[in-house]
Amino acid sequence: MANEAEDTIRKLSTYKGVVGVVVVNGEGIPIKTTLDNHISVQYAGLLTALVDKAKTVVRDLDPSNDLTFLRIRSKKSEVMVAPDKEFILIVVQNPVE
Amino acid sequence: MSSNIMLPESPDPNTRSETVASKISFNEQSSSRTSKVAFSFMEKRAMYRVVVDGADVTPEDILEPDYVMMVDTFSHAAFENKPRFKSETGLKATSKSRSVTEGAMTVFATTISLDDIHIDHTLNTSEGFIPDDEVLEQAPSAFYLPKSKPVMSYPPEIFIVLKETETCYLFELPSFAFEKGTPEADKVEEDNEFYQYITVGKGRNRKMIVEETQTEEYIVQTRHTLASRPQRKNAIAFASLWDMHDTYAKLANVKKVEEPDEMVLYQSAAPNLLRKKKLNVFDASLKKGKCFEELASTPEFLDAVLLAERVLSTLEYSEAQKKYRGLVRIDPLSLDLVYIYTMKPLWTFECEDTINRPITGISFNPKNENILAVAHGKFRYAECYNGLVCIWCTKNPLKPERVYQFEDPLTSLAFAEKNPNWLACGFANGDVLILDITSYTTKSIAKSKRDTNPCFEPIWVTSWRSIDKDNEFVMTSCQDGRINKFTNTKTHDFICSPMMRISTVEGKMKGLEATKACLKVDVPITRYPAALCIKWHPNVEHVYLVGTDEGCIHKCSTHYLNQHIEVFKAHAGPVYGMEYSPFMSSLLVSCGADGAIRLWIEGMDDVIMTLTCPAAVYGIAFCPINSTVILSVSGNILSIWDLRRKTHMPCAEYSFPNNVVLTYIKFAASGDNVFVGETSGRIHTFHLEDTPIPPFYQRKMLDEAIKKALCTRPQLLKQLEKLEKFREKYAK
Repeated sequence: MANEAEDTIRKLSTYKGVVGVVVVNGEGIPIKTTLDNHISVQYAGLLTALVDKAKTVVRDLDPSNDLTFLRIRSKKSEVMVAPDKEFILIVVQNPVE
Repeated sequence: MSSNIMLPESPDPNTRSETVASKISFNEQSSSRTSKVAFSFMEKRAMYRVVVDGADVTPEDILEPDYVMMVDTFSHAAFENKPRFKSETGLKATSKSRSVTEGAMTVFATTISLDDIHIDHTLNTSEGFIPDDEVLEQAPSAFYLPKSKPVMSYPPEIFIVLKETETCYLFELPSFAFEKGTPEADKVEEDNEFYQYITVGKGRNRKMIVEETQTEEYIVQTRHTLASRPQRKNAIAFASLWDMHDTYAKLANVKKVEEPDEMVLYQSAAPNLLRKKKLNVFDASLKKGKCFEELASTPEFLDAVLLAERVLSTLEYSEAQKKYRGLVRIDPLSLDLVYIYTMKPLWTFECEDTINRPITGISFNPKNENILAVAHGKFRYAECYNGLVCIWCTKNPLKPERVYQFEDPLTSLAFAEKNPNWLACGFANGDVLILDITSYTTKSIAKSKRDTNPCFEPIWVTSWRSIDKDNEFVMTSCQDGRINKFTNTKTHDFICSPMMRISTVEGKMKGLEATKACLKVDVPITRYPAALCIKWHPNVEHVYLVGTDEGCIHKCSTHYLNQHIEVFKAHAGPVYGMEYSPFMSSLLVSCGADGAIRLWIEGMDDVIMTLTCPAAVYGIAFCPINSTVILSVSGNILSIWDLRRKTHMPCAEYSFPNNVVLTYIKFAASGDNVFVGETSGRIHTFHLEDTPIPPFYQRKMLDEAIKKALCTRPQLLKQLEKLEKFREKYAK
């Protein structure tokens, strides 16, 4: 079973343009990552707060709604965040331009 | 109210006022002065004057020149408190007095200059407020007394003197027993005798009266004990709008869910005895595991990965996806339109699981056109593959979103109309299974059982048909000619009931002119051909067409369970596909292994048109937006026919590399996108471009095209016209 889990992350990271994949658990600690440790910790810490804020935005506007996906497009890269109650999945990619 | 009222002139501590008093008196303030006590340090204290025997012995203020007085240091207006002039009248009564408020009116103006204020810009306000170092959780003490400091040191020697005090009697209980022989004992004996006499003896009958008496008052003592204070702590709770929403939603779930099982008969016992144990649908959300292995298998994580993959695939396929969704339109007025019927490839659904696994069936989800289910089985007779069902989404061509493995190869599948999550699959060993595709693992809703389903041969067609508004059943056709109906009953059984059995037709049939097989000996058995394709009639509810591997098309009805209504020979080999035209419901197109595509009109026995292909034609598709365009796949060639232009050869042909056999073709609902399935396990998606602009009168165009093709067969033309008139007359 653990193999399958490893597999999913590995497959994700083999997509075209993907720089790294970080899986953060409910406490904000990165539990699986393909990037360096300190970068992963940075991503985890910063994005946890942002995800909470985004979730508040969505739910305050309509409590029956919920945040499913968050994409941050910057000049150099794109960060895709899939939040959940127990984990946060972060994928960083370099868009081909 | 004292007789003397002494009021100071100013808060100068050195002033003293004179009094006329004979004893120590404390002069209080006038009670009429009910205003707020003005804040003034020594004012209150300065009010009191201790006068002993006429002499003012008020202790002086302690002044230390080294220590600056607070009056001098405090310069903030914040401490100023303007008292109210409430009881001025009362004040005025005391004539000799000066109003105290006057004294309190010493106003301290703010002397904070801007230079004194220093704002630290280096403080990072975005980091949030850093609270003081107090332990918030610790609740404040109920007792405002300061903790008494324990004795830190004991003197080295303690001298203790013990003295005898006076004896104080607390309690005395005199004895009532005496030794026999003593005078007290005699007395006691006398008493006892008397007692006996009056109670048991002769003196028993004596006059008695009831009397009441007051009981003695006894002394009570109240005791208080001090219980130790339970530990408490401060906790912060915050409820936002959606917190409350979530709580209510969860509360609604806690309501018990009872499984309705109508097949169980309840005996006439008390209802609370026989009621089934209710299941509480309430997931106690325990703290889920924080390690990756546990998280990775939860469906939520897999959903998140799915979403991320979809988004990632748009990086590569965003142009193709835009074309697919029709966001890139061709300009009908552009001058360089050439009708060459190009098929622009958009993407290919393939992954490592599906390579070289032949596709045996594709079904599109009726609710969401982007989702398609693909069945992989075996194509050639001797191949040996396991079954595989992949659910793909057009948003992610790189990886299937669901993969289900089976032991037996699959032969067909179909999505249900009413429950778009349900997928009925037919296997090569005769089983029929309904899958629920919402789960990541194989979850079967129903499976056919051997006791009701006699088929053991491949199920060639699985399709759903609705009975009424809510229910539908699965209709399957098998290699042994059986057409079965599968229904999901309330007892959760998947029961198979036969609808029809196709039998071989002997002798001459209408339709195609075929050479008759020579029979040396007529063997009196009924042979059942395989039913390879089924099509329901577009207009009549109960009629359906079945194509067999003998090349015949049988017209059957659900009203007749044992025989067909009509039969005609369509092909010299097995019939692989039948389609009705979306614009003309009486036009049927059939394709077969003899490499021919034949058009039939209902009501006419002869074939209207034949289109020839190089190899066996496995599939045909009508274009939903252009009535005269037909696509067909045969061998490794995809042909595009346009009946309007020419019928003797296709308008465009595309061949696929690697000698694959194309087995499936279908148009998406939008009419521009085509899905082609191959035996190598790939599904290609194409965008059809450079076609003639769809005509406005589609049916008329098709009509004309057919009539033009029939110009060499005038009898048929006449027959067709008669048929049309007949239909017009009776349609109204």
